[in-house]
Amino acid sequence: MITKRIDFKKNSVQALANPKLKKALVNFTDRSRASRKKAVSEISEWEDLRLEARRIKEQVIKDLDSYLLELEESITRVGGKVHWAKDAEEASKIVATIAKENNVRNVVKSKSMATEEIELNKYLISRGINTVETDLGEYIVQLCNDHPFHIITPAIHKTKEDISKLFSEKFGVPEYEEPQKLANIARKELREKFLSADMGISGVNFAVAETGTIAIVENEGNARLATTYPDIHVAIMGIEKIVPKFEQLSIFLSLLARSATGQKSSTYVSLITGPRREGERDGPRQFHLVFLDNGRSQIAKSEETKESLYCIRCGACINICPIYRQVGGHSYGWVYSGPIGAVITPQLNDLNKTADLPFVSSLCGACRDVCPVKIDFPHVFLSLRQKIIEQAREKPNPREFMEKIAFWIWGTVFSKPFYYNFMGKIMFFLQCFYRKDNELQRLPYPFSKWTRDKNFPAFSKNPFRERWKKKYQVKGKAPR
Amino acid sequence: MIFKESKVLILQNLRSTVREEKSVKKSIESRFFSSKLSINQDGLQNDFIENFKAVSGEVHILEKKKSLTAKINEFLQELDTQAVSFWRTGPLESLEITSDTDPASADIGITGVDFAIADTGTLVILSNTNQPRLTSLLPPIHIAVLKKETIVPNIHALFVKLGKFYQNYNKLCSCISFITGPSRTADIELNLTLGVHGPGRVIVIII
Amino acid sequence: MVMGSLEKGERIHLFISCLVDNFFPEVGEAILRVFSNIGLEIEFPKDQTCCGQPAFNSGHRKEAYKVACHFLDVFDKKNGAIVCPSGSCVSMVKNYYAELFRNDPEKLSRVEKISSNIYEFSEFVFQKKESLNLNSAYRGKVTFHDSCHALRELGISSQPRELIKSLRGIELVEMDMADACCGFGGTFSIKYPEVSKSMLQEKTDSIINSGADAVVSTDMGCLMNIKGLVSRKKLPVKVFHLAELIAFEYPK
Repeated sequence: MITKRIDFKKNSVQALANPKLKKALVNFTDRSRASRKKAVSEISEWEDLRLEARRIKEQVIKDLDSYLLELEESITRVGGKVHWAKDAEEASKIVATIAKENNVRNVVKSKSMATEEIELNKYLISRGINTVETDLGEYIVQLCNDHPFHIITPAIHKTKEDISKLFSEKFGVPEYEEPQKLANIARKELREKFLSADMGISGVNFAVAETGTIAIVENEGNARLATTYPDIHVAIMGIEKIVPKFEQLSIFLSLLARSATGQKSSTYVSLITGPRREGERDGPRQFHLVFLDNGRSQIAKSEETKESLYCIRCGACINICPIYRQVGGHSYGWVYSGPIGAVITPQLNDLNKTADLPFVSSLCGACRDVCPVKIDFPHVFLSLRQKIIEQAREKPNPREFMEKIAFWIWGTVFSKPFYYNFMGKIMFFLQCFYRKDNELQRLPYPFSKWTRDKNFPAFSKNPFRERWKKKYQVKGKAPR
Repeated sequence: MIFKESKVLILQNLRSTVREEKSVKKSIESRFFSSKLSINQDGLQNDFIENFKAVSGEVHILEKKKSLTAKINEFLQELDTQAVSFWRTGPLESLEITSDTDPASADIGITGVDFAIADTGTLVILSNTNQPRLTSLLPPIHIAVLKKETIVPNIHALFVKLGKFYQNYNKLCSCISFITGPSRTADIELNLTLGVHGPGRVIVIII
Repeated sequence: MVMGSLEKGERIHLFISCLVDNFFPEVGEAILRVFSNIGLEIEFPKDQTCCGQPAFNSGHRKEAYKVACHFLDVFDKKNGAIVCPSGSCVSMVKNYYAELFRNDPEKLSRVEKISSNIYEFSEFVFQKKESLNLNSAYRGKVTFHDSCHALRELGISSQPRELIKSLRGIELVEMDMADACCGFGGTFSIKYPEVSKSMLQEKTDSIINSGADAVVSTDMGCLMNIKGLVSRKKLPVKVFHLAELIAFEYPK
């Protein structure tokens, strides 16, 4: 949960001042955009897949209650156990209790945004349970007490020099700079953790209501290890992750890999249906699935913004976003960044503390174009903006109050041609203090925000309506 | 720990959503599953090889006269190891390898493959009592023995096969693993590195 | 009206947009030259102001509603196409009026009529290009910036490019990431000017790197933004609305 107001402006200014970060971001977004584009162009049925996925997600969110019950029944049938958590606190408690009941000391975790969202690591570690992130990027982030920078590639803000120094400090190895060597060190360190873990925690990419199967998608193999080696597997899923039918997984798996990393298929997909069966030599003996609501059922109620729940966390909207490309993930102030962060963070948290985020969009719509489930991001942004403005009207702060007054004046002037014409004339005279070469180079607040970096055009002495009147109106049409 | 009230609360919230009508859950008629299954296994094999190699996988086709044991022993010799963990099912049943090590300490894991997907270069492995999951996961090298006739064109066709195999999914195995090449990560400055957790080499032998 | 065919003296209604009206009237005049050349009879409904988008996009729906009602009053009695030199305004009417007026069935039916009859400048001119017989006096290399709303909300991408290519003596060179937002986004550029500036900087870099001596687009929102930095930094590139390029005349 967010406790302090997210100040996007402050965060973004900080990020923009870091040229190293900018370089990493341009490199990253360029590459992921290109590989996604290529992967998508390889299959002719891409648009059909998107439409079908969208349709399935609409159906799921509409009937989420019955799908959740169906999933619970299926999981129970295959020998797993379902836990319902209304918020972060409950979900963490559930996991800690399972750990306590089974004398768990060491936990290995694979990457999961839901567990980031509820800050599960902090909770478990404070209760004396060793909890280690095992995705390489997440591991790096955890070692330096940082937060993930991106939902797919959490450590792109770290250079290999940073990482080599970090590993050298933590493990007493020389400062290797070859990424392969660094990865080998991580393999060795983490392999020991896996082999001594009593519990594995994972997220869930998709959960099939009909069969009780959860799908976990990854490239490293750490999720396979975390869900196979330890005796207990606890998976945590946002309640929106349901897919009704087993065969529908093929649609979502195709969409996810291509959208997220531009791969035809991720390296590993595990379709897990309950704990190990009798006679099997490996696999967990206990399987727990935690349903995490944490505000999601409220979103499902909102006709205007419920499509935010269709998200499959591929990150394509983040990679294409021209704003993310400038400011990176941390500016968004919470675990989700980019366009999806800007729509989901305010809906899962106090809207007053997150009111900056829905305005962090130029409404360019690039995110909508790449979204595998066709979330209409601009539409959601606009709905949230309306909600914020209408709520803020009750007790606006000075800036909001000023904006409100400004738009009230604007609305009055622009709905009456007489005022509108009059305003043009007044502005023409007022601007003479600022005009230079027919442009305005220094305007007072709030327009100074514009003129600090660039010129603003001057109001014309002869606006188009006047020119039309003088030259053409008499004839009724323009001269040939 | 059970939060009974939470379940009630969540369901209550969801039920209060506006709906035009209680929608009928009908099975999805999807055109993707009707994509015609190619009967040309040679073509599928070629596609599989191309795509599997594209993700840094290695592919060998078993020569006509050679036995699987001989082929695998060649690999063992080349890699200079006897620490092998292997399945004893299907084509591997007749494998004559002296040692069988625990996967955690083996240098090589040898498994069969249940299905393969041509257009993504993916191996599909089902878990059961004779097919433990760790064999393909813990050792740094994974050798997978693939029967040519089990290659399907794409992921949608695979799910059709799985559906038939499991008679509408009533008794799914505990874990179906899709493996598309060696373990990989790009978490360090987007540099591709192999073998970060799972095997760094995956060698497929097609029989 | 059937697009593509031209009836003699076909009448169109010009929605000039508040930016062109107040800041860039010369773009309006260029549009008149293009339309006259095609042989259209032009009407300029004189009470027009704005489509209401600035308030709508900022969350101030009440004010947007007020201004949009005025727009409906001015334009909904018109027969014949409404043409506007800004994809953003057209998209507001076509795609978002339905949402703005969703609780108002009477207005919704008026919106429906207008929506089916409003066109962005370049898509309209492209349909009539057979009748366009205008030789731009401009000579040189130009690059095209896709304005986001024309591209993604109206699907306009090839039409302006084809029009540019058909002009003699003008070469179209594509810039890197022509479809990336320039950072304008209405009040976004005032709310987060630092981020907006950073986006704009990338855009102008792309423009300069393309080697073109002019950048052309179809929306004065983007162009006002781009022009702002170009003239502040005195960058060696001209900024044109497509209409200005097509109807380019040497200064007398």
